[in-house]
Amino acid sequence: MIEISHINKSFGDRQVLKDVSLTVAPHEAVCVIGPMGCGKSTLIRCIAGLEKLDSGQILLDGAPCKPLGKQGGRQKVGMVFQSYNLFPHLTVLHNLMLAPQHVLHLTEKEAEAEAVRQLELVGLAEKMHMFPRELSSGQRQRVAMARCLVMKPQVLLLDEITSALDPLATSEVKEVLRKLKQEVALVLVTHDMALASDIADRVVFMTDGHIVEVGTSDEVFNHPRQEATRVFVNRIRDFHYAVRSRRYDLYELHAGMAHFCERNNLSHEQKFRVQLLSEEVLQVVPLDKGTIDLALRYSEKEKTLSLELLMPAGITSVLHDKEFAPDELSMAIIEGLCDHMNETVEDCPEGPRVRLCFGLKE
Amino acid sequence: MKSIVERKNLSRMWSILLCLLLLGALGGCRPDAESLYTDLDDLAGKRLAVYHGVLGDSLAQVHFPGADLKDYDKTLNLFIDIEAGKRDAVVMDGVTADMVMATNSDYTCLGRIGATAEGVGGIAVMVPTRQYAPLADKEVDARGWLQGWKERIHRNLFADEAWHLITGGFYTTVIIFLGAAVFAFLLAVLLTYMGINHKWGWLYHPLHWFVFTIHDIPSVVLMMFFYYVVFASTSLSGIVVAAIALGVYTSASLTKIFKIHITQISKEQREAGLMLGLTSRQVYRYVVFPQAVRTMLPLVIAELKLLLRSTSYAGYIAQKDLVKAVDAIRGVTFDAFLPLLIVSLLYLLLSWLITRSVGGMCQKLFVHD
Repeated sequence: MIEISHINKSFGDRQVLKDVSLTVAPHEAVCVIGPMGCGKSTLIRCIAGLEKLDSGQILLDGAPCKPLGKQGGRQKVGMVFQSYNLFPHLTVLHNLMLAPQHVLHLTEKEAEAEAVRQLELVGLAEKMHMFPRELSSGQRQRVAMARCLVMKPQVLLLDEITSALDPLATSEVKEVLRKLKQEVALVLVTHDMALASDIADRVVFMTDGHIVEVGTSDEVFNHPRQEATRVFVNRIRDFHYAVRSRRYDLYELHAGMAHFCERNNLSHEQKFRVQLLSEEVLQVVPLDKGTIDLALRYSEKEKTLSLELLMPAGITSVLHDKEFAPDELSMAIIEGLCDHMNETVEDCPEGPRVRLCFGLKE
Repeated sequence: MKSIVERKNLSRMWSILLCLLLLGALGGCRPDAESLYTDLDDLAGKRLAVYHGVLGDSLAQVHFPGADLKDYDKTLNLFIDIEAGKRDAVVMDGVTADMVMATNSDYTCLGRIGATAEGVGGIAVMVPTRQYAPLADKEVDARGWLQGWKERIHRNLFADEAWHLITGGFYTTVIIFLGAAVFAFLLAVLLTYMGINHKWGWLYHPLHWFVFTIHDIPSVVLMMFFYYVVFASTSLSGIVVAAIALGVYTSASLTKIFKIHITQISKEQREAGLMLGLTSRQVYRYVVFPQAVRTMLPLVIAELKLLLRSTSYAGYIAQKDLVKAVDAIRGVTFDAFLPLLIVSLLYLLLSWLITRSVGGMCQKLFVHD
């Protein structure tokens, strides 16, 4: 029902979408995932009609899309934004009634009845006379979805709608999405893997402006065919951080690690130890020879956590280096936290690189 | 049921009124114990107001050595100081003094110096009639305090077309204001529309440059420039010219306000409106303007009040507005207080009307339910 054929889109010199083609069937839920800047938001905005295509076409039900902003403009496609974009000067009810009254020309009573019906669907009927600023973020996102639904779209586009939400709010939204799947087609841009595997019928992995792989969520996340997909999907499972210099952002690193631990249901104790270990390790290794790729890996099978550092090319050894003279206290802490640490050399395209592995005690 | 804001505004108005009245009452008071004079010798050691002229100066200095003499080159200021009690007696040449006393029974001649036997020429020394002993009894008994006020009000407001001066001035001020406000609004809307939509660049850029450069010139100078230079050869009335000048001046600020507050409404809000199927016009009407108007309303009202105050310079281009009315009445009655009080109150009234009507219009147009 949506046919995207060979679309290209550039912003100035940068080509953001390269020859992208995709189809979405009615009542299908498609999830688009990919790293930042890969063009997934642009793709969805092109489907919405908010961006003009350089070439290629997008057909809705076989017909080209009507332009926005003119009489009889786009209604088959509804869009929910990451920042909800509710109208702050209107109550929740009036937010929902505005478009039906002025576009579908319903009477006030009819518009109100429909609005209440949709609010009940998303579970927010009792908030109908409140203003958006009085609602929590999860509630606002649900109202945004209800606002789209009053216009009876056939496709709902959702741009990173859970990225700004806490886990509780995310679950609220996920529940609503599950209900909606039966009525509309969904195109969801997200980097929440759990959401994608729960909701999506198909997952599309994009990188650098083109589609790399399409499949069911099981295929893409657990058995990726393409290397690029595998790397990306694993990155979500592990925590990766690039330490570029002595002046790296310690708080950003620790926050990332804390988030990773929460996602994997690790205890506070483990989180604390991991943070302490990373801080001490980064004290003893050389930081000004290049970018260190730091990774935190958690094996669910063995329930082990390990911290791995891939040193920049050019360093032949760390632990066995003649000039390696770490602070005694740091080494004592590291040895106390780990049950093993070793050093291997890996062959990488840019040269052999040292990989340090610190396995944390349970 | 009055809202909190309305109640605050009302009580503010009442307190301003009260302050004005108190100030005026103080200013309008005469010193309690007013001395009575019988002849020139009673003026020893007093403060004299000398109307500038060779004769007056030199004779005064000769006849009243060591007295406190102050020179005046305008009769208006001289008599105002006498009325205010800052000076005690008037010294002026006999001819002018006769003219004054012919038209104004409030002043009586205390004595003449250097005049002929028939009382012509030389200099005359005048005091207010109520302080002239031979006539004072009659004056004082004839008036009670309230009566005095009634006479003052009568003289300032009703006698000799004073009332006409005030209503005429009010009318002129209002016309200039409305003309300038409408013109400023239309011009600002045009400039904002062109600026946001990048239309008609050939017109927009020069017009924009012109309006904003002009804004750096004081509105008074601008009015005079338009009247004495730009439109000098045309037959356009001064009121129209003033409205045009002030309109162009105010439109610069209004344009800035409109543009900032409209573009502040995020692009994403507009996109959300478009995605719901609203036309661009509907997005502006139902999403952008209601929010923008709310934030810009106080600023627009402040600009309009500034415009109202700027109309008070219309006297510079020979228009008879409220300020000129004050001057005119003052010139006749030598009383500054009452005309100024009345005109101040009228300006306050106009200011209040601006706030109410603009606020009310916006309420009607952009706020639903």
